[in-house]
Amino acid sequence: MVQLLDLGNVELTLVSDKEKRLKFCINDHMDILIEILQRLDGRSLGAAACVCRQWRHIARSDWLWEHLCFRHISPRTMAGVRPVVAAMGGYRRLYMLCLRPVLSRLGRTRGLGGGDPEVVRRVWTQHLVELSLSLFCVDYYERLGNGGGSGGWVGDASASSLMFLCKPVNV
Amino acid sequence: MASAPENEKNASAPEKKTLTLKSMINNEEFVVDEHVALQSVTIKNMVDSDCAGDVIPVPTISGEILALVIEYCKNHANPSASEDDLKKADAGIVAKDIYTLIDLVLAANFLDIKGLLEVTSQKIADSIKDLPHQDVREIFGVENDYTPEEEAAVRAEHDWAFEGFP
Repeated sequence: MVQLLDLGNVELTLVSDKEKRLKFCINDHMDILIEILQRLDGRSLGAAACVCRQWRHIARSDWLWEHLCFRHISPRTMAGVRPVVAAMGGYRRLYMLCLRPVLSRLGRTRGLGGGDPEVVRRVWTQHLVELSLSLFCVDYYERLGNGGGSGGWVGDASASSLMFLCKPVNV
Repeated sequence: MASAPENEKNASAPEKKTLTLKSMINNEEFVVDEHVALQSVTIKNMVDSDCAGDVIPVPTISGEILALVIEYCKNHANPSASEDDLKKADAGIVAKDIYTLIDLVLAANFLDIKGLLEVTSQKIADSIKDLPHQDVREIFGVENDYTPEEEAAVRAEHDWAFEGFP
């Protein structure tokens, strides 16, 4: 009898635990959700967009990507370049186009996987971010040239593009 | 004139003053030094505006979680603790399962303790970053509001994020 009662209690607590969990939804706590999402790495932030619409909305906010681009370096922001980066496509584009390839390649060549925090900490320096910003400008002007059609003043980007700097090379 | 020594006494007295925090979930009470409890901006505001009685009721936070919060506040109120000690102590506090961490982050947010909010959020981010998003939904009680077509499109758009992913 005692055993039965115990079992009943266990079930009850399980049920109430589940109910409590079901009632809780992180989306009701936007400020906490943002605190958590802004601490993810780039890859996980991309994956987080698949959770639901609200997460996708946050995971695509450019300020979050700005935070991601600069959080490993000091100072943690370069507010002065913000309007320029925004005009050239935004921080998410900057990350995807210039930072991510370098980071994942460095992670791979060391056989440690792209998201290894130790590798990230060592390579994610002020210089990496500055180089990325330069490459971002290069990309922008090359696109501008291509957009101008045959009359583009930059010429054939595929032959003379500096964007090869983003691609893997044998070192 | 006679009140001058009395004033001095009062001025040094707050250091030894204690507050009682009471979890309204399971009525557990914790007696803590005031300077420890004042790391919570919420409690500080209550004390500053004289809204705090002898016992401060803390709604929605269980005794188990409140104990963790107080442990954190005690560590960080200790002026002789080195940064390394604090880092180790913080890591110990957040070495918990994901559901405890969520309760802890809610508590840190409610009590407005910035440092605890940061370490707990970081730990949660680290814990979920390699989980499939179906699991993430379940943990955070999030409903999938995508249509199958939308979900496939979002997934395709973020395909790069799933390289080498389970």
